[in-house]
Amino acid sequence: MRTFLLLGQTGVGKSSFVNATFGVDLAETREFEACTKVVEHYARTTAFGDICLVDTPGLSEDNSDLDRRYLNMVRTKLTSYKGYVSLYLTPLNETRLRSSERSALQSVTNELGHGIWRRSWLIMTFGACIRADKLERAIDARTRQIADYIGQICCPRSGFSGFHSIGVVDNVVVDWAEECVPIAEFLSTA
Amino acid sequence: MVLDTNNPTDPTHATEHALPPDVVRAAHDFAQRVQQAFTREFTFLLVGRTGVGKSSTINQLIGQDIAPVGDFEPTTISVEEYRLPIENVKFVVYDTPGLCDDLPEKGNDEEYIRRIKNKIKTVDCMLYVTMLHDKRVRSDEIYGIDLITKTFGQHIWKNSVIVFTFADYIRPDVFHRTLSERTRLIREVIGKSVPIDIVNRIPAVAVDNSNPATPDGTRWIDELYTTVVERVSRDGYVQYMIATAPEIIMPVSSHQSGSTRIYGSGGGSYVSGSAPLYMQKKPTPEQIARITTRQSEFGVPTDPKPRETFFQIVADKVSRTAESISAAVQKGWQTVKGWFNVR
Repeated sequence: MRTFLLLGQTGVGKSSFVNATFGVDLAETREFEACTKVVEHYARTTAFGDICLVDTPGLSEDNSDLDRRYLNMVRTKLTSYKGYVSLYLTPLNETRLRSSERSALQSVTNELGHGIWRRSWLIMTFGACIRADKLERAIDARTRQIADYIGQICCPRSGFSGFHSIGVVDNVVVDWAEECVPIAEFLSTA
Repeated sequence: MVLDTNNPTDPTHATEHALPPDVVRAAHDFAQRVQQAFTREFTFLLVGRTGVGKSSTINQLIGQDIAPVGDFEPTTISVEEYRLPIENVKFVVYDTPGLCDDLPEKGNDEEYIRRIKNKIKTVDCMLYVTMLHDKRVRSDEIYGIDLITKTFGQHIWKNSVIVFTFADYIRPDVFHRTLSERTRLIREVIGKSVPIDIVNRIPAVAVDNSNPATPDGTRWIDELYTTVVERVSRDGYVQYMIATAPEIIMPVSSHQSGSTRIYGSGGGSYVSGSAPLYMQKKPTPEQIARITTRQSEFGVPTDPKPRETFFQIVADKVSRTAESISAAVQKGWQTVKGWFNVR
């Protein structure tokens, strides 16, 4: 069983990612308002092996106190996940590294420890929103923005030297790009 | 209207007798506002996170590139000021980089509020800019909205418009639902510190800085323009109209007898050399009705005949006091003469 911890701001598509991975509506999602308030586990057998996705409440929903409370909930469960991989989700259709994103990255680092980034993947959502000819540049820019920022806030000894894997998904549109693979197949490379 | 000094009977007084004294007074007051249009400063305030399209929006609304469209990240909360004349009316656009960007400086709200108040005395219209395709109102926006209310007071929202950018990211079939949901949620955050009757009146307009129409087919520039007119401060209304759509604000017929032709279309000698803003727009009859509705605030009669007389008084008063307008606004007056086509 491969376990993945989903982290990211509210509204980036963590719960939708769960549903997109398994192809079933398991996690409750809401288009415009935060709805995931607790840590939820979704374990399923897929054609690409057993996968457990840990859905967490989104960050930047209100203030940093709330973020801290949410991340405390995550931290108490961390020890029960054997060899988990953290997936940090970020929307690809943002133009800048906005401050709420920075504060989310900061909170994750502070509350879960620098080591949370050691075996982390970056998942960019809303892939279908970006025009094909701009896709590569958008992915590069976004990856650099996030990785550079984590590099800044983590001490060098923490071992973050970039993301282990990078994936671009669209939780709604299937086959939105050439050479699309099922999300579960991508996760099975962990 | 220009006085023919050879004419023994003063047509102005003949005109004024046709209206009740309070309407005449209103016409004089209106004329004064027309004149003040060239001395007063009209102030736009832009608020919203960096990268949401504030600069593109104001540039398109005004029809000139006044604010640089940049890719830089703000490093500090600051107030940027852009000045420009539109048809010789003085416009000031204040941009507030960092206000909604939740910067490290956050926590020092008092200092920032003091700095911003020091620079911006009055606001005629505030554009609160945010992306239509955002899925959440997140902490940075919540903080920014709260700071706006703290800085300017809740009344700032009476002269505000919510502008949703990147409308092209939304599929046509969910466009209306998205627009109304996003409007509801932004209003909800504003409503945390502002009375509900103010909040529920704040209009929202979806814009698309790369297409002339939003996914529902609306020509957004006309809709934004009209909505801004509906929301500008009372003092700013006549001024804004004089700068952007004199024909709509002063609809005196162009086929009057004699030498007087007021706001004749196209015949003006526009100092800037470019067509006035309203000519680049094509407001629908419904939008024009919304624009002119506000005239009643200034005592403009709605019936055609008294209405025409009202504007004759205004036009006459403005041209008769031309000489008394200071040298500083001479250039502005040239423009008015163009509009009035005074001979």
